[in-house]
Amino acid sequence: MIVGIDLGTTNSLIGTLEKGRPKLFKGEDGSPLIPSIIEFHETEGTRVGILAKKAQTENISRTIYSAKRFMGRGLSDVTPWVKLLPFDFSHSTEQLIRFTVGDRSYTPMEIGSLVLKKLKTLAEKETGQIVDKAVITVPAYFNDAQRQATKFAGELAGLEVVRIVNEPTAACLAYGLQKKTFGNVAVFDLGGGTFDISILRVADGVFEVLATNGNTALGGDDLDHAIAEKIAEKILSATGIDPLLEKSSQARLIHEAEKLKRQLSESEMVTWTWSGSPSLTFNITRSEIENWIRPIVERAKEPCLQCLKDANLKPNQITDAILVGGSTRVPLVKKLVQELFLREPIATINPDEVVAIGAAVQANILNGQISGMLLLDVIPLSLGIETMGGVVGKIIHRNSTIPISASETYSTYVDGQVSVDIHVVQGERELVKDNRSLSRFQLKGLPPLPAGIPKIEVEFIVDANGILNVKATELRTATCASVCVNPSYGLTDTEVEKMLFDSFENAETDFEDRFLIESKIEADSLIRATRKALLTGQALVDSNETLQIEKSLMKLQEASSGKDRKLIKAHIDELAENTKHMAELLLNQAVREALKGKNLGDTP
Amino acid sequence: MLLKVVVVVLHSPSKTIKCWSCTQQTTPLLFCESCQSILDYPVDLSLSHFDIFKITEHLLIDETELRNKFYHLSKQVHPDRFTMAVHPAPLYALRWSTALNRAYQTLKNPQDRTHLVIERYIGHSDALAKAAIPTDLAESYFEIQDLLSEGQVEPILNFKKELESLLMESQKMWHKLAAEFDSGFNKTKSAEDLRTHANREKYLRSMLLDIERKVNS
Repeated sequence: MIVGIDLGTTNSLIGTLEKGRPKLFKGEDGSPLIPSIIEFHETEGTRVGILAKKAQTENISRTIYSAKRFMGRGLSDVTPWVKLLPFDFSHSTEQLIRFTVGDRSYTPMEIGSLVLKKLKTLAEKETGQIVDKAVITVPAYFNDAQRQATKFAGELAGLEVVRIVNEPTAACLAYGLQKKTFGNVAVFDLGGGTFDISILRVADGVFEVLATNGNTALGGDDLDHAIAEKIAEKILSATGIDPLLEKSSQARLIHEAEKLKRQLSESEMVTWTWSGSPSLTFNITRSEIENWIRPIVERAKEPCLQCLKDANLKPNQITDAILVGGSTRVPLVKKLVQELFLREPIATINPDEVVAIGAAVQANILNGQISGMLLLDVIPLSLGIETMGGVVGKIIHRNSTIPISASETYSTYVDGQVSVDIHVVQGERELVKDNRSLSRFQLKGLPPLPAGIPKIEVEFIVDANGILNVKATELRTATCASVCVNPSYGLTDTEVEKMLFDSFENAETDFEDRFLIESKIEADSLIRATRKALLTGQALVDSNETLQIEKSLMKLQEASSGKDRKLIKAHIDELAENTKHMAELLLNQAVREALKGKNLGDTP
Repeated sequence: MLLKVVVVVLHSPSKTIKCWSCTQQTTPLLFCESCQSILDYPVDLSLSHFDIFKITEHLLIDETELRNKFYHLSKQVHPDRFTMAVHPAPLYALRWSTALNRAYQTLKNPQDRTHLVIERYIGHSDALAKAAIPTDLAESYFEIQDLLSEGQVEPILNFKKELESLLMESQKMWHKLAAEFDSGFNKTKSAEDLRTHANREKYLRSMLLDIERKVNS
């Protein structure tokens, strides 16, 4: 079964389409908003979602949230937030962020994968079907490293990520399913930790993204933090105690700030009590918090104007402005959108749910269930390489429709140069140092020629997920080097293996049925593989052996329709044992085929 | 805008290829004539961006029409349509879609379109980057540098207006040259005129950009 997932900073959602209508799966509290919070309880294992919500203020040292802010980033990228989040970070050499919990540490990808596993389990429990494929959304302004990290989190959770989709684009698809929008649509998406603006042209079932812009470090959390800082000042001046100094009151303060933000979106004034010693009571008005958050809300303005410019549209040419993300309920935010796009923004689909619904729509476009819609998305940031003097040579420009490829030819600077370093960067600035470095790799084995003679073609290929592959070729000798940029944000293969292993080891143990489902998946794929192998393998073994295999196949099939996990496992082992010989023969045959007609000298 | 689009049948390639799926002979464009399977992108045909859209090589094109064609073709070749298809169909779709996106991105923008034909008829537009400042703009160019370094607001703004009207004129001029290119027989001569014009316009834009940066700071 294929699902759509909105992996959010604050909350995550999972959904599908049922008879063409969106359906979101619910958590233990009956809400489809699954808090992106993990509690690593001392004795009772890992809790995710609403079950971990209380721990956010009560078991602070063992609880991680807002992990999305750290996806695909180095510690130096996140310094501004570190002081406001009560986590312990481990410093590691490769600039990879790790959260320390007790004697273990977790990468943001592992935290993300635990949230994804939880979502997967919820959907599987409700439908009784195996969820193995997913479309996962990311902020449009996520760079290549952040996309790769998200994809990797999906893989850690046992999901085949068939597509990474931009959140605002997904939202537009959700409206598209209901045929509610056409023309030039602006999607204003203020999520928990990120802000995106996208402008799309919707016509004839095609959703063409014209331009996208945003800020990956601006979100609803920042509004909460701004409010928290101001109420902390109030508490400080009334009591002489700074509540920001202590981690427990810090977390509570942010929680209170978020509540205030919601309450003051509905009413003009609330009476607010801080239960400390002594406890305090204040009246806080909407206009008061609007003054506090205005500087932050204003930061969304510039990206919107740039996006209009890139889309080559005037504000009055926008036909619809869609609101996405819980923080767009804040009246001041709505007002800004209205001013920017000269029309009353719409939020007829719940702004918290619209992205997950859109992801489910894209999932159904990909599996062929929906044929009348097509999404043409773009890359948000330009891609290039470092050239002489630390200047960026742009190869693919931002807002290019994907998939796309482009190449440039370069040469050497020094006589007899036999290798070149290729430094891949992403961003809009002129100088390499101001952009994000994605990868460095080397093209070796160049013929030693005078400077300027070798012709080195660097080709960038961006797939439909917005993920980059780079290939460098020396055209005269056809020397070639290529790299899939940052497959998992600077991790080595061993680290990736260890993470995969750890993620299994640390999985929740209280879901017997989850294991059952996994055994069934394993059985299912083994049965399919065996059937396929039998087609050619039958001829290689005697009839007695074939009969044995057939028998084990039947037994496994029968066990896998039942509920006994151990029985399924036993028959999986039996079938694997019985097919061993045939598998060896098939492998030998394949090797012979591959070598047929070749000289021994050709073998690697 | 005066627009004209002539749809031509692609010079149907004399060569046929064997379809990977049904093994029948077919012309190598897009889909197999027998089984409708998507074919590999024909690198050896060296299709131009115009060829991909099956439109004549004109600078004045109907951009709405181009967009409609782009949507229509995207619906046929986008990889999203082939996620359930068997190998190598998804790969071929990716190659077609990549070529289509590249072609659309270039053709939809008049400046990029212009560079495309310049490059085709008189070689690499690198020559453009090295081209000297047009004589009639030279005086203004140095004057504006002086004004910017002095930082006097009023004369700068006056200058800006002047440059903006020059740019408007220049764009009208482009239409004239583009029409000449489209109808003319001497494409090389037209391409040279277009290059001179593009070079001039580049200086106009760069001066305006300098002013804008100064005013914003």
